Order: sequence, then structure tokens, then C-alpha cells
Amino acid sequence: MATTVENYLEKYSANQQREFPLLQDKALAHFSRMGFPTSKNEEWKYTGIAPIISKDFSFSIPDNKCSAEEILQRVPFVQGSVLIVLENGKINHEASDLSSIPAGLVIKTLGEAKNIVDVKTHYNRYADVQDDAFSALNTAFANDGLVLLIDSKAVIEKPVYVVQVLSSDNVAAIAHNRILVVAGKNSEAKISHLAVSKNENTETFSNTIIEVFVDENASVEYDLLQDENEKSFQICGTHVYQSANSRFSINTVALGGSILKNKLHIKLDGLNCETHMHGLYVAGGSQLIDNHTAVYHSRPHCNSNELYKGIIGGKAHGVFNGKIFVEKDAQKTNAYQSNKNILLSNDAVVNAKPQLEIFADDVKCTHGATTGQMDDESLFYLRSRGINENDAKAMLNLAFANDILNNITVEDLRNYISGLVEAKLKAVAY
Amino acid sequence: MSEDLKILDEVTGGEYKWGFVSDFESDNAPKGLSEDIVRFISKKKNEPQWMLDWRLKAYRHWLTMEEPTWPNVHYPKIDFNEIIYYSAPKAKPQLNSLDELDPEIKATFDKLGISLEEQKRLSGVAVDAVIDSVSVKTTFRDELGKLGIIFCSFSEAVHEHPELIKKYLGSVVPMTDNFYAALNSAVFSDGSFCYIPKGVRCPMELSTYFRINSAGTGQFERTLIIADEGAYVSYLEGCTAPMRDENQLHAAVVEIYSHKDAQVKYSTVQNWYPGDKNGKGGIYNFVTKRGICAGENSKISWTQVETGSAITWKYPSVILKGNNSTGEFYSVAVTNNMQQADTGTKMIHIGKNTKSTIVSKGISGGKSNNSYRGLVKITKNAENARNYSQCDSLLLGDQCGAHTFPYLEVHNKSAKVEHEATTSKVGEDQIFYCNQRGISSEDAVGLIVNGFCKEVFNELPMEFAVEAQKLLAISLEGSVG
Repeated sequence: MATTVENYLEKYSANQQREFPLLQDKALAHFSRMGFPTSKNEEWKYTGIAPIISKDFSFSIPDNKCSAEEILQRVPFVQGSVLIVLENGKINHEASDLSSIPAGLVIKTLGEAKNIVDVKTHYNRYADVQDDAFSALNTAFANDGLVLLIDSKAVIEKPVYVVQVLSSDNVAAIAHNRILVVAGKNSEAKISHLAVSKNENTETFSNTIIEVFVDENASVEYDLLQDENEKSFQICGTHVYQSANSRFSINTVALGGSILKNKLHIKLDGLNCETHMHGLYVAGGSQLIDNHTAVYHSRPHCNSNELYKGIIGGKAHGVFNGKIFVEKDAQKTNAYQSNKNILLSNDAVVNAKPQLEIFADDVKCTHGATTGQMDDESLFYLRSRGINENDAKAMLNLAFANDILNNITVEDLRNYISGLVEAKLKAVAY
Repeated sequence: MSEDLKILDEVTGGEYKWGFVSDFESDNAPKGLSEDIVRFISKKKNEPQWMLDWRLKAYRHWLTMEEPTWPNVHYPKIDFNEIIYYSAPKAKPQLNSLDELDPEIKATFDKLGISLEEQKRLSGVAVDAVIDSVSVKTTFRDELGKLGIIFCSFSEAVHEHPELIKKYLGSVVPMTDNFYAALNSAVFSDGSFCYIPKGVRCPMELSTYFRINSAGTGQFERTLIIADEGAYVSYLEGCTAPMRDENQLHAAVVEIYSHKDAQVKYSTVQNWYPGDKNGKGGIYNFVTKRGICAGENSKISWTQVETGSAITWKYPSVILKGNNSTGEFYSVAVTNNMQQADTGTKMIHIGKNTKSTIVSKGISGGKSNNSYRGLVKITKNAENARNYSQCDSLLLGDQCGAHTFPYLEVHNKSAKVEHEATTSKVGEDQIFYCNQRGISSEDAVGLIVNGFCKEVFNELPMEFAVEAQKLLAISLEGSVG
């Protein structure tokens, strides 16, 4: 295993061009200190990453850029909206559509934006570089990336689409995607992030870090669809920081990938914050989908609400770990967390670990987790009305999933994802 | 209400009221741990060679193990060479009646309020009282003997029923299980042994009172309970300990083996010395408790009320191997001042149609930390397994912490696993409601906390429930109001 760590270190020194030399060197030092996590690490207890780290991924992907048509073919509903194509960790300007950027929204590459005060203040401030090898790796290698700045008081009504694509054709390749969103005071925005693969048969590894800063009174919805190919590895860390009176909602739909691990950290560091986290994971075959979430309540009077649902079939493995931390000062916190899983086969596995750590007394925190199967009575109801068993099951599973999908307020996106989920459910169930 | 007022009286008056040292001579082993000490203990107890071999094997394995650091508790590193591993009240003559008992020991019991005679006469509880490490007195032996029930100290069982000990010792908690189980296997001093033969329903509640008595003595109890086919037994264990400044280690092992159609109910009230307000002193309670439902339709139920100890770290578990077997865990864990508790259970579902219920109530006050950590595992062949877990935490004050770490591992699609947890404080509206009806705030909190724990107290045998209610109030002293 040590050889792979060295492999990454070598790759790092081979390329001397750096946008943030100090940060990147430091992150690499953290990475080389930590090495890759093993199953002894509580955060990785159920998620074996041997297939990822044993592979020698190529860092340079042959120039084979996606065209605008190819992107639109994959996600047709984005046409006419602001579209940013983040290809192999870099913005592909040709395929992107930046013709109608609304007032108050600034879109830049990380390199272009590095001297902007907001970027200097917030970049790499929330990612857990010293604790997580993959965050460190991302920071060390992310030379390019996407910066979205939303001015104070700007209300961006239309969704901003970010299509993240790995376009390697034959070579097993790695990409370090980096996104920074800074929402100014009183601003509003919706960001829809879609992760896809260009080629359905290439092994790829996307290591993504998303940082979101939500300033006072701002409101951000972040939708994340993960639909890379069946052979891909995805590790995605989302780190959110909320100021007073802000509202943040994230909807994660995880469908594709051989190993997919999400880490969502949200820090509520102001009064009256509101947070909604919804997640859906549908896994079949021998997929492993792991969602780790953590909410840190640091200030009083904040509300957080979390619901994650999983449907696991085949020999797939679903992992959920949700943490709620309520710090000493965070009185009057309301935190709710729920995780529900349906197992479709006896070879499928679910490991759930909802976790509460409370240090304040005047709080209301609850969590619940269930694992089971479809309600027999509901199934019987549908069957008695002449619906065949497979269709009835599909309907019930979709209804189960809709609790999550209904939180996506971008209608086009919701319909698109709903279609994907329906297809995936059919593939998983039988 | 009068009962509650009494509680409050005791609360306001209360230092740790069972802290006293009785002055009888102990027969101590030298400090420290080595093969020689293991041999010394074994020799002291006149053990046969196979027992010594077993201990030595465990000791050698222990040497290869590392002290676990994963629980959510903090304490200075234990120096295992500073502990006295064996201490027995001096040369014990065989006693036939209570009058022959050492008056000092008897006084200790009286101070504890155990009062063997009274227990014997009134409540029909057979008491196997353990002071420090040697079983001093077993009552009702003859009566139980008529039914074929064996209830004696562990060392007696080694001599009198070696075939049972050989068969069952380590069958639920192997000597290699964990660091403290291995240590216990090597140096365990004594404990209780209980065997209920086929089809016998034990007519009384079997009870052991544990006390840690000699300063600097680790208490390494070993309990083995076997319920043969169709048997039933309810087993009580209750503890109080004298006040000490040194931390004392208690690493017990309890094994329960439940055969086909058998039922074992194990209840504990634990009130060892928790240390003073600044966290000085107190007992480390690192215990391995596990039961196996080996046969069909068997049942094991754990009920615990944990109010004492500086650190409580234990997970009474059930392995549900037999089809249709049932596991239950009811727990109240109270921490106050600087106490720490990391407790919970493990339910391992292996057989078909197995059921488990977990109800855990954690109450933290002062600067204490209270964790629930539990595992529910449904293995691949455990068709129709059912689990319901509920763990509620109550926080009294803003200096304490409550933590919940449930692990749910499901490998079978027909399983139904539910877990619920809440954390809250005593509601102002609830107190207001009581105030309105002329109940003072202190009384109201007492009422509400007791109501919070009712589900678990209901599972306790009657005498214990009353005691538990009082203990709860005493433990929460200072954090109420």
C-alpha cells in the first residue's frame, strides 16, 4: 500500500505548476503523514477502498474534450440555462454555456479567482484536509476548479447547472474536482451538480471536494446527482459553513459507481440557521454506496433536518453514518435525523450508524433508523387491483424514493432524476 | 409522594452513604501480575491442574493483547502491576448458620441493609454474598438443592462440578474475547455459579451482593449461569462499595448459557463508588457480560440500573443462535459529577425468527458523559429477525454530554430493524404543570426522571425497583433543580 502513497507523491512532484503552492504543499504533507485510511478507521469501517488505492490511475487524460452536443445529449434539460462543464477537474469553456449569466453571479476558474478576497478567505477553509487523506489529496492536486460567487442581495432564480464529467476513453484516469461556492449576504441561488461519465466502460476515479459558504440571510439549494458509470470510483466531500439566519438545503442522489463514498459536513455557526439534508441511494450488483453526514450545531436556535433513504439489491452494500453534534452553547437546537433502508435481496447488506453527541441540555434531538422491506399490505392492495407483482413493487419503491426526490425544487432536474431512479430500480430489483 | 419526599431528604443529606471500610483481615497476594501470581491464586483456591492450565493459557494470551482505547471514556492509564489480584477474608471456616459469621462481616451486611436473616425470612431470596473475592455465605443452598439447582461459589463449583465448569466455562465469553476478559480468565478470584436442571423453574430469585472491600484490590468476578432445557431463573446482582481515593479496577465476566425453551432473567443494580465531585477516586467497571440463546425458544433478558462507578464500560449482549429465541436489554444509566459511562448492548441474530428489544435510558448531570453504544447484527441466515431499539437521553445541566452510537448491520432482507433515539431535557412545561399543582420543582424533577425510567424499572423485580428508584435520586443529587 505504501507504494501507492509514494506513487501519488511522485505524481505531485512531477508537476511543478501550482496555483496555491503553500496550501498544496501543506495538503500533500498531510496526505503523506496520514496515508490511505484502512477499515480500522471508524469512518471507513465498512468501506474497503483497496480497489481504489491499488490502481495506478493516469493523471493526464488524452485531450478528448466533450462537445456541447454530447453534454446536451446526456442532460438535455439544461439547454438554455447557465451551464458549466467541469471536465476532468477543469472547466471546459467550449461545452459550457455562459452566455446568459445573470447579474450578481460570478463564474471563474480557481486560477482566475485566486486573488479575489472572498476566495482567499474561504478557499480550503472548510475541507478537512488534516483529517481526511482524500481531502488532502484533492487539495494537493486541485490546480483548477470552479468558483461560484453570488453577490450580496443577488437572487439567482434559475438554477446553475454544473456538469462534472470524466472523459477518459480507455485509460483508467483520476480527476480532482474542486468547487467553491460563496453566497453573499441575503443572496439566493440554486446549484444543480450532475456527475456523469463520458464512457460507460472506463474505470475512473473522481475525487471531489465541494465547499459552500452561506453568508447571513442567504439561501442555497445544492442538488447533487451522482450517476457515473458502474466501474467508477467516487469520493465526494461536501463541506458547508452557515452563518446566522441562513438556509441551506442539499439533495444527494447516488446511483452510479462501483464504490461511492459521500461525506457531508455542515457547520451551523450562527443563530437561527436552517438546514435540510436529503439523500437517496439505490445500489445493485456489487455496488458499495456510503453516505457519511455530520452536522455541527455550534450556535443556539438552529434547526437541522435529515432524511436519507436507501434501496439495496443484488449483492450491494449500503452504508449510512449520520452524526449530530450539539456543542455546549447550542441551546434550543432542534435536530432531526432519519435513515430508512429497504433490502431487496439476502446478499445485500446495510450498515447504519446514526449517532448523536450532545453537550447542551435544552435541545430536542431525535434520530431513527430502520431497515426492512416493503409493506406487505401495500403490496397486497396494489395486487388486488390487478397490478402485477413487479410493477407493484416498482411503484412502492419509487414512492419510497419520492420522499427524497420531492425536495428537489428544480423541476426539470427532478423529472430527469426521477426517470433515472425508476430505471435503476427496475435494474436493481430483478 | 411520601416515598419521593424521603428520596429528596436522602438526596439533600447525601454524601455517598455506603462508603465505609470494614476492618477484617485480608489475605492478600503481593501486588502485580505474573505467572507466579496466577499460580498463587490457583493454589490458594486449591484448584485442580486443568483450571490452572486454563488460567495460564488466558494469561499468556493476555500478554499479547493491547489495552483497547476506542470507548468514549477517559482515564489515566492503568498500571496492571500496581493491582493486588487476590484478597480473601481470612481463613474461612465452614459455616452452618449465620451466627458463626464473622461479626465484622455481618455488620457490613447490616450497614448495607442486606440483613441476611431478614432476607431469608421475609423475601425468600437466596443470597450468595461475596465480600471481596471469596464467597462468604450461601443461603438456601439446601432448599435449592432439593430441586437439583446448583447455586454456589465458583471455586466450590470447580471442585464439585468440574464437568459442568469444563463444559461451559469460556463457551460464551472465550478467554481470548477481549483484553479484560482475558485478564479476568487469568486471575478471576471467585464468583457465582448457577445451574438450573431440565424443566425446573427456580422458585426464588437468586441474588448475589458484590462488594469491593480491600483497598487496591481489583475484583475479578466470574459468574456462570446455565439454564438447561425448559428451565427458568431470575438472577439478581446488586452492588455497593466503600469510599476510596484510589481508582479500583473491576473486570468481571458473566456468562449465561440458555438451552432450548429456557429463560434467564438477569438484573443488576450497580452502585459502586463513583468518585467525589471532582472525579477523584471511584471504580472502573470494565465488565464483559454475554449470554447465548443456544436452543430454540430460549430467552435471555438483561436489566441494569447503573448509577455508580467512575467509569462504566459494559455491553451485556445476547447471541440469538436458536430459532425463535428472544433477547432483551433494559438499561438505565445515570451519570453525575465527573462520571463516565459507555454502555449498551449487542444483539447478534443468527437463528430464524429471532427477536430482540433494546430500551436504554441515559441520564447525565453535572460534568458527566453518558454514551449508548449498541450493535444489532442480523446475519445472512437469520430469516424474519426483528429488532426494536429505543435509546433516550435526558440532560440535566449544560456541562454534561450524551452520546449515542448505534450500529445496525443487516444482511438479510426479511429483517425488520428499528432504531429510535431522542435527547431532551426536563421540559419547562412539565415542571410548570407540576408547580401548578403544588409540587415543588425538585419534586417535579424527581417525578419526571422516575417516569422517564419507568419502562426499565418495570422490568426489575419488586425489591430492586424500589431500591433503584432511591439510587437514582441519590445519584442525581445536586444536578436537580
